[in-house]
Amino acid sequence: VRYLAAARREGDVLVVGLNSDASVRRLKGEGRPVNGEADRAEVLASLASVDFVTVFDEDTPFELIRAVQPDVLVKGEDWAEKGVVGREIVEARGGRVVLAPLVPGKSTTSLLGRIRGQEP
Amino acid sequence: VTARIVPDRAELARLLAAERSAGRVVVLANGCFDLIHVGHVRYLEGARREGDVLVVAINSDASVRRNKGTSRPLQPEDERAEILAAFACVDYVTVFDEPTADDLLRALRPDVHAKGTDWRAEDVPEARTVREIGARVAIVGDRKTHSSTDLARRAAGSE
Repeated sequence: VRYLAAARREGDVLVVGLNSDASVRRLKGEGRPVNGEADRAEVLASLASVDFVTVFDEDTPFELIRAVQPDVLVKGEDWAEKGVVGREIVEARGGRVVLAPLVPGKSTTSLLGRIRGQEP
Repeated sequence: VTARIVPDRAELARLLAAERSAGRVVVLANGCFDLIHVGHVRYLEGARREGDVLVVAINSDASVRRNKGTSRPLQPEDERAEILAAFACVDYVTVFDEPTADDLLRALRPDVHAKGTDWRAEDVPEARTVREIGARVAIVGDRKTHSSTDLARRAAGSE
């Protein structure tokens, strides 16, 4: 929620590209996603900070970024060293890449770890 | 613009009185909202459609523990409040610690008390208080095929 609010403050219209269920499984393993893409999209669409939600199925959002041509591309600051996919597309048009701060300890993976740790 | 989190009940009552005198219909929704999912969102959207101003009262951490056991909530009340406040349909968020919403209803005097589809209007525990303050019960949201308890179980099982 803080990541999305921070992203929205960088501009006027916030588009959220959501990983498809198949791409979440490829990236995070068989136990994920916990919520299906239609449900995840509906929850995101009801947030005040979000204007458009779309689903992408590729391993990276490169094709989506090429299609949307955003003025600002926002990623979590954990992408700093890994390199932000699509940076060259955005910067070629004079756009910018923003790395948004993460909230320590608040990843879905750590939340799931806590749930799984406390089950018998 | 996000909703206002108002922990102080007297202050919230004053804000809602002002909303009502401006001619707006106030709706109260309540629940734990631990691990927000699409079922919560549809309940909130449905509640908001019953009026003009949506107040969401979340169970305090202590009351969630009493209702659902010591392994809950998975998210503390300040985080649950912040997430709820980020939804477009929500106007005010507050926290309550009592076992039922009766005291809250008497203090806030909403026009509508929204409950999920797991309730029937006649079985709502606060029905008497709702009548007493001249409000009505609205049953909103989709049929309950999602719950945080099932979600946590699914999350725990799917390792």
